[in-house]
Amino acid sequence: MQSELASLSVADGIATLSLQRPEARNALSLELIRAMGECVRRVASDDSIRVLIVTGEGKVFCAGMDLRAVASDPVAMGEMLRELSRVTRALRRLPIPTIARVQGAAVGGGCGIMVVCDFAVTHPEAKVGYPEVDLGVCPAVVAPWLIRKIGAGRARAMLLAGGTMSGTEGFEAGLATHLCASELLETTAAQLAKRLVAGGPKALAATKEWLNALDGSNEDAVLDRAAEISATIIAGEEAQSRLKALFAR
Amino acid sequence: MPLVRLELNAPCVTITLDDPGRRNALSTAMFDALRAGVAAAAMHETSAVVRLRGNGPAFCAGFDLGACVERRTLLATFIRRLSLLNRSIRRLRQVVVVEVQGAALAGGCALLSACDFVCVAPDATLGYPVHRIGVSPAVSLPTLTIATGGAARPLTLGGDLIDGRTALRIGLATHCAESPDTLPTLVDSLVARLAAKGPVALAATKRWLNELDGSARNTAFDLTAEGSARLCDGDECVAMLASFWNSRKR
Repeated sequence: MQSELASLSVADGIATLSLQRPEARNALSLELIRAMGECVRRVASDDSIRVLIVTGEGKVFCAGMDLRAVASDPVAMGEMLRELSRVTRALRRLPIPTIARVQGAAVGGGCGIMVVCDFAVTHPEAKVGYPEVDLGVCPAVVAPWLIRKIGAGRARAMLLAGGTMSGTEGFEAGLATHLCASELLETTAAQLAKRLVAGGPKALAATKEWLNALDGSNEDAVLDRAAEISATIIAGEEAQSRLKALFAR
Repeated sequence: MPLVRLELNAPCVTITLDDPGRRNALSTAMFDALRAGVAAAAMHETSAVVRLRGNGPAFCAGFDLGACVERRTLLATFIRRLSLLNRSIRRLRQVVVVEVQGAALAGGCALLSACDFVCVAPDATLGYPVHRIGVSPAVSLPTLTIATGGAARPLTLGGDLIDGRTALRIGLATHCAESPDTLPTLVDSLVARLAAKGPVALAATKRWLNELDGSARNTAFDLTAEGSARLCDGDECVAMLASFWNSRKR
């Protein structure tokens, strides 16, 4: 299936979902998040797909939420956060292993997509992290996935400190599961996908279901509240004035 | 002389344990002063960061054991007060940064994991050497297990002391200075970075982290505090504490 903003291709049981806004460094607009959600639904309904690779067209995996596009519209910002919350949980609950192939940068919501995947491959020079609090934004939507990935203690320091880090640092902190030279990114992700395709699909689905149940990934109440908290904070004066200053640069 | 010094300045409130002659031990008076300090920080609306530090060569050497030997019921009281203090630090609206030089032992170490950022000197001495006095460090576990995950098990069961670099590796510390001398600068720069962020978003993020990791709820704090406190009346604790204290005096 092709959309203007996200594409899905399938070969040998491996699906590749690609964000298609390279001119905006694949920043997450509401339309892009919805297009991504449509691709995830398609993957969920296709039994022939055994592994999903999530990537972005161009030099950057995903630069985060495209808040500039909805500047001065806090209601639209909130809706984007709710949509991101829906798509990340759909991605998490796919019955197949997912791999984020991260080139260039995965920032804010982009880092959230990377971390919600079961595996993430990146390179040393990539820029990853959660600078939300620097902008007066609360990263509640992505916090549950980060806590599950790297543990609550490390997630606390990372989310409260804001900022970004290199791919190497992200790998050492546990955000990425694989680190390789940038020119080997596609090969490394492809090899990993090929190895995962060889696994028993029922066993993989059962294991994934069980992991999700154990770590709370299926609990909608927490994730719904997270989206509301982020939406409320982004509509507040602090976030709006900081974002306005950022957009004015 | 007050045992805790408080500097209420926007955007950072500094709480300094100021009893260096007794290595900032947690006594009744120190618990009173810390409770008042944390309460004052909580009321300080224009600050986004709280910096917790200890004056002198040690951050905090743990409970005032001499007083506990003199008054047997005091140890259980200290454990309950430590649990309450940890919750109140954890639930401060502000981001809490603790600066740790020298020793942070037992109750002193317990304070660390309640904080959001733990900055240590590389030669700091940290740990829970409390089984030798028949005390369980369980009161630390609600926040320690969040910070360190599985590493809390050998740290609290083994009772070995670790240095700052090891603390960083296992997640008890979030930052380790290159040298003891550079610790204050490291904390200054972290505090400045945190103070530049959106205080509303920071507070919301912290509240949300507390909710997700369970530290917004009292259950685990209550259970572990009571579990630790109950042991204090037992023969094992009474005999081991007295024997430890006597050997120290010799």
